[in-house]
Amino acid sequence: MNANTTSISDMNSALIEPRMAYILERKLQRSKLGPYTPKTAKEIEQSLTRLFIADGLNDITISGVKRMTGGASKEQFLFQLQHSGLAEPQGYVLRMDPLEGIVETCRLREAELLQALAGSFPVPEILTVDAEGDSLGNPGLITGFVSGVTKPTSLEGQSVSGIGSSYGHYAELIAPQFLDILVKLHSWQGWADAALPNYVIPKKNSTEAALYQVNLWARTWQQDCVEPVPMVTLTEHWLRENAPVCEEPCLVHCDYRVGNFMFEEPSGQITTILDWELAHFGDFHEDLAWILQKLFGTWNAQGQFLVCGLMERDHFISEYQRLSGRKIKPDVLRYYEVLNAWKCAIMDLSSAIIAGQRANNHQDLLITWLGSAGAVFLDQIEMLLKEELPNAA
Amino acid sequence: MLPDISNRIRNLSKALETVIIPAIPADNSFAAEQAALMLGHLKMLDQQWDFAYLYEKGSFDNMLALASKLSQLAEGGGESQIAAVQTRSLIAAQPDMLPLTVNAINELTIALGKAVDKLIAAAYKDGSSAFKTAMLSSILDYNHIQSARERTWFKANNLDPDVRDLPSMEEMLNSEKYCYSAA
Repeated sequence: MNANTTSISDMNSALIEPRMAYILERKLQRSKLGPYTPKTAKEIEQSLTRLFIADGLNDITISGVKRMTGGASKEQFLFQLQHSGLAEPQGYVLRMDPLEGIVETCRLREAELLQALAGSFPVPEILTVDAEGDSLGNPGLITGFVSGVTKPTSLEGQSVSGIGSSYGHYAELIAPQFLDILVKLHSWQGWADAALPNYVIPKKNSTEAALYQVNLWARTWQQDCVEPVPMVTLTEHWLRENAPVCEEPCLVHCDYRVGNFMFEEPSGQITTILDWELAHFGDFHEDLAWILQKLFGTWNAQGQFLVCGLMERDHFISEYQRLSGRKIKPDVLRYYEVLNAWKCAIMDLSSAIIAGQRANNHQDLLITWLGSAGAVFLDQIEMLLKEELPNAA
Repeated sequence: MLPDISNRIRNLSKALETVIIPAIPADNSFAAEQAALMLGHLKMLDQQWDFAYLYEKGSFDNMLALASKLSQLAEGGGESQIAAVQTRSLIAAQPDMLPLTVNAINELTIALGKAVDKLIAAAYKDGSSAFKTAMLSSILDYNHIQSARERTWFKANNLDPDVRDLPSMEEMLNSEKYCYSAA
């Protein structure tokens, strides 16, 4: 841990990715345009037609627009596109921002990253992006349709967001792939040659990887705060003072978990990793700490906790180390467990609540429901900081 | 009050369950999902509404106790001292008779929370080492109680992996165990 405590908050206040600073500022402006009404199929057809005309396509026909369920932050629609350049209609997915949601992210960054990862990772193919919503009315991204399911169709008791889902017998098939893709992601060097102008790579051997994240979420809290929460404020200061050095920043997905990948039945083959909106360059421990969260896990019939419903914690950690050749540092993992719990508390206790209050989301009911889980993360932070107590202040 | 609030909430739930949800076409999963969430919210509201004032009053008492404790502990440079004085003034200005509505008492809690935030920021700027250590410990103790209260308040959301460890609503609202003390 870095013990340098001299005016860290002053020193690092500028450490925020410029595109993300712009996105948060844009959110402030867009939040005044509400309330938001979920889009109808007809509205989506019209928006998509405008977008494809602007992209230079001819003889456009949009059909079969169907809303996808789930998703607490983006409106998602399946549709068929036909135009003069296609022999037959093809299926695509529109992923579009409401006025505000539980997290504020950038479709342009997401598109840049998916293009960079294509061919190396199972990611959806990008068709086009409307970064500012000039044609769609809201920022949006269009990707190819990928077959598969996010949860076994035969199991009951699944949740809306995928959280709390169980994979049953698919766990054994999926777990090795889940680990393998994660390890490859963290060792991916393709970013050096990729066009990722809206990402910032933190400096090696510095605390920047952590501080970029602390600043982003601190600004989110400042912007969306509904009422003060002492634990959230305290944790921000603790995170600044204890930011660990990251020797070698890498790409981190930051929402790699149950519900965010698709697989085929009955093979259990992972077909796509979804939801790259929170991805950035940072410390691999950040992904591991996210994946290990209790909220995303389940207990099996023997009472053992399964990480993301897939495997036991010790197995996950030992296999990650074996496959990656990386050494997990317990104190850094702990730091990122605190940071992730703090991020989740901010999403739940500020962004979700205020979006629901302003009726600015297509799923006001869902984000308010998720917002009610905020104290779960406060409790988790408290437990983690108590374990650190001798060094906590 | 006739018809009472529980009665109306349950009527709403029944209408959703027996008339509205069955009328949703099978291919409109978004509407079905929204209706299911409505039902969940209504059930949770039915468990909560009668206790809402007691819950908010408990949150106020806990935040008041935390503000009081931190203002007593504060020591260090000018920022810490000013924040402590301002917090003590705010505490002294609390009404003898608390307001009787949920929203009004929540506003008092928010004002105290802002004062606590300033004390935390001041402690990290120029607070003594002893103040910072004691502050951290106090906030962790406060959080232990207050987050247990909040998790209990919302335990019907099925999002808490440790729900089995939580007390009943009655115990959370009435037991001294869930009252943070400045002593």
